[in-house]
This record gives sequence, structure tokens and C-alpha cells, in this order.
Amino acid sequence: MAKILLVDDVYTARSMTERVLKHVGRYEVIAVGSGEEAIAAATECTPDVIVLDISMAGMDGLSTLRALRAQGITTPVVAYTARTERALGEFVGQGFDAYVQKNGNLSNLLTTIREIVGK
Amino acid sequence: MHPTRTLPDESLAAELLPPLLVALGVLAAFAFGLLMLNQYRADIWPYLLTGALVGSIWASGSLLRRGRLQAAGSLTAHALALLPIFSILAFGLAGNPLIYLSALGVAAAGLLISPAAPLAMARTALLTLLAFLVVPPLIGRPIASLSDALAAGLTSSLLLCGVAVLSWAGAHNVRGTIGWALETSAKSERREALLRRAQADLERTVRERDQLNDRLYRQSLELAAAKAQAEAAFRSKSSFMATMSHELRTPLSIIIGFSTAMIEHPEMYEGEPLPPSYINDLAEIKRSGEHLLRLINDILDLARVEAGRLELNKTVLPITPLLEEMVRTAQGLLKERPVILRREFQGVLPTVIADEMRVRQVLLNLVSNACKFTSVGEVAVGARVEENEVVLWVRDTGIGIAEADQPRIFDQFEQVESHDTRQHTGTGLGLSICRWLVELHGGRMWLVSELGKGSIFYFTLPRVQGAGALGERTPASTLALAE
Repeated sequence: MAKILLVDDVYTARSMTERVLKHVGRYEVIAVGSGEEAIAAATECTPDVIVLDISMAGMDGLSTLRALRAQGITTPVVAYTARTERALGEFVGQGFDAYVQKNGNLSNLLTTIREIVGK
Repeated sequence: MHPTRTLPDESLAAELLPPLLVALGVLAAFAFGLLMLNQYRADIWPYLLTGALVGSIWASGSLLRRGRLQAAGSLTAHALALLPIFSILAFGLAGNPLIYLSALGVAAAGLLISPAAPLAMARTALLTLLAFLVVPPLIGRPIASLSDALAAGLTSSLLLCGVAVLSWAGAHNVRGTIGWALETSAKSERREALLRRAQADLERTVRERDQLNDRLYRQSLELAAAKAQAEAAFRSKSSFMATMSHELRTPLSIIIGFSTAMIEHPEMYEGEPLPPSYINDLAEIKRSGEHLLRLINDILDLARVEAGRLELNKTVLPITPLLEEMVRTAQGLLKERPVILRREFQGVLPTVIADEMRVRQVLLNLVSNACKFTSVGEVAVGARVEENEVVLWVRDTGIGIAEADQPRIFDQFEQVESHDTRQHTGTGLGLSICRWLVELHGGRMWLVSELGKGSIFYFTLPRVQGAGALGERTPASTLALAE
């Protein structure tokens, strides 16, 4: 069973995504609420995929990604954000492996993770 | 040689004539006094009269020369002319005819000085006097004494000088009398005054210009400050918009997410599906949430377009795959409805320069409108190639738009009234944004429609000449966004 590290600072959003990934996607999910926790969990639990919110209070998604890569963690990272597609474009080339818009459409995230895990 | 009235000559005459004429007047007064003394040696009057004459001529001359107190100078000159005449009356017929001559001389000098008298008249007067003087037989009496001879000689030389001066003036085409000369001198003074005024004006202008420059500089500084402020405000506004949209989207994604999960994924709820009555209401919640999300996206888009901040990621874009994608989308939207879906394009269409995402947005909007308002008949997606552009259209046999409503169909928040508002929900911004986007690409958008028969929405995109050339595609347009 693939292991997914979910990083989102909004509790409700995090728990919803967590439940979707667990019950619908049948993944093992470790959910954390900040970039710092994410870095700790990434080294500890060696997840297969990291689902990372971009707009987070404190350490945001981009700096979390950089910190992860700086520590030599090469786990694929999916940017998962409520920002518009257009705003997502600004993050292209920043090193994320995929981008998914957080718009309530749950299957988008599931499809993307399945593609990465299946690779 | 024709003497010309150039400025140096004019000013020479103006400079020389007044002192010359004053000198002549003074000498004439002397001669007159000498004759009077000869006649009334013991009396005090001749001394007084001579003194008064010399003084007044000198005074009038200097007054007039300055060009000021002209009225006073003129008055003195006339008094001078009249004085000898009155003195002749006063002293009676003295028996010496020279007294008449010298009296006339003084009168002539006065006349010369007078600003009003003509030059020719003064010259004639002097010549007449000279004629009388040089023809002694006409006088009728031989010159007896030395003082008589002296006075006669002085007077005649005086008259000769006067004639010479006036002839010189005449030769220089000087018109009028000393009045003219004075006026010229006054003119040069006026000219000088004018020059001074002009200089003062110029200096003031320069000062004003300097002040204006200062003000301009200050204003440019203020403007730069204001611009920086506005830019800061704009930045804070756009960051506010970005934050705002994020803040709005996050709870909406939760609303939509949970309602989707409840409807589609009962496995999240111990595998127990909800009763259909719940499902219907949840579907309503989901649809409303999606509508709200669309509305927020549209409003942000429109705000960006209107602020001129919407930038296009233009690439060389093949149209055919996009149209095929639209046909598939329409298929999904129409589902089981008895609507025939048509492709009104053939072969390989040329490429256009456009932002793929935005063109898709426009087409998607038109296609979903067409499917939404058509329950029976046809929906078509088409394109044709023209010289410089590609014309694309979406045609339907739906409810159509009344002619009266057509002009405002592209306005913001305009929706043609629908009988079933629940079925035909939209933001009322879609077409407005579509037209904005098309115009941003340098194209046009219009419609042909008839109420009850259907509509055709057209738009154009500029063509790439020499189709097939692959332009570089910016990463944004190749973004793997799961839509």
C-alpha cells in the first residue's frame, strides 16, 4: 500500500483530503499541518508521494519543497492548492512533480497520485 | 543720392537740432538785447528783457530736449515768439529799423523751437529776414554806429546759420520742425524705455520660467511619489485579490469536496449510501458551490481583464484538436438529449497565435451555453479560414435570443430571461469575458440569432502565415492540469 504524506495547514481541508485518500484511494496517509512537520515526517516515514499545499501560514509550500530537496529527499511532490490554474503557472519550473487544483473535484488528486505511484 | 531715413541719421538730427536751435535762439536774444541797449543805454529794461529772453530760451530748450514737460516747453516757446512783438509795442517806434529785424529773429527762433510749427514756414521766415537785412536800401537808412553794425552783423550771421541748419535738416529729409526732432529724441527715449520694459519683461519671464521649472520639478517629484504610492496600492490590491480568492476558494473546495464525497464515495462513510432524497439536496449544495466557485473565478478574471493585467500566454496553436475536444465536451453535456452534434470544419485548419487556455475557455463557454439552451435539434462546432484570420463558431437550434436583447448579451451580468432559471444557471459574466478575451487576442466576437430558432456565436483569431511552423510553447500552456 502506497504511503502518502499530506501537508495542509487548514484542518478541515486536511482531514477531508486525508479521508478521501484513505477510504477512496486506499492509501496509507500521514497528515501534517505545517512545512516543518512535513520535513520531519518525510525523513521519518519515507512516503511514496508528498501532497503539499502551497499557500500555508508560516513556511509555505515552495520553501517546504526547497527544504526537502536540500535535504536530499527526492520523493515526488504534488502541489495541491486552491489557487487558480493561472496562479499555478507561476510555480511551473519550481520543482514540483505535478500540480492539482484544490477545487472540490476529488478525482483529480486521486488520478494524479495513481499516475505517480504507478510509474 | 536719395537720403534715407535710417535710424543713425534720424538720431543724429534728433541729437543735433535741439542744441543748435537753442544756441541760435540764445544768440538772437543777445542781438536783440544789444540793439535795445544801443537805443536805451541808461534804462534797466533792456538788461532785464535780455536776461529773461536768454534764460527762457535756454530753459525751454533744455526742457524740450529732455522730452519731458513738453507742454511747458511749448508754452515758453510761444511766449518767446510773442515777447519781442510786445516789446516793440512797449518801446514804441524807436526809429531804428533793426529792432524790427532782430525782433523778427527772436520770433523765428521761437517759431523754430515750437513743436507745432512746420519747418518750411520757419525757413521762409528766416530767408525773408535775411533778404531784408542784406538789402540796406530797403531799410532806408545807413548804419551809423559801431554797435549798430555789430548788431546787424550778428543778426545776419545768426539768420544765415539758421537757414544753414534748416537746409541741412531739409537735406536729411527731416520733416516738420524741432518738434519733430524732439519727438524723435522722445521717440528714442520711448524706445529706450520700451527696451527697458522689454528687458524687465524678459527678466520677469525668465524668473517666471525658473519658478515654473521649479514647480514642474517639484510636481514631477510629487508625481513620482504618487506613482510609487499608486503602484504600492496596486500591488497590495492584487495581493489582496490573490489572498481573497484563495480564502474564498478554500472553504468552497471543502463544501464541494464533501458533497462530492457523500454522493460519489459512500466508502468514506462505512459504505452506506445515503437515501436519494439526501443525495438530491447534496447535489444542489454541490452545484451551488461549483456555481459560486465559477463566479469567483469569473469575477477575478474580469477584474484582471479590466485592470489590463490579464496576460496572454500566446503560442502557435493548432485549432483542429481544440475543436475535436469541444465536440467531445458537447457530447458529454448533451448526453441522451435528441440533439445532433455536427462538425462544421474540414481537413487540417491552420494554426493561430493564441493562449490555448483562454481560447478553450471561450469555446467551452459557447459550447456549454449552446448545450444548455438546446433541448432538441442541432449543436455545431465550426471553423473556416479567411485571409488573415480563422473564424470559429458554435451554432445551436436552441431558444435563441431576441433581437432587442442581442446588443446587451455581451454586457456584464446580463442574462436573457429564462423560464427555467434553475435549469439555466450561469454567472452572467461568461460572454462578457469571452468577448474581452477574444478582443485581447486581436479578434472580434458577434452573434446571429433568432428567438425560438437558435443562435450562432462567431469569433475570430488572427492566423499564423505559413502554417505548420512550430512555435515554442511556454511551460504554462503545457501545464499538466487535471481539469
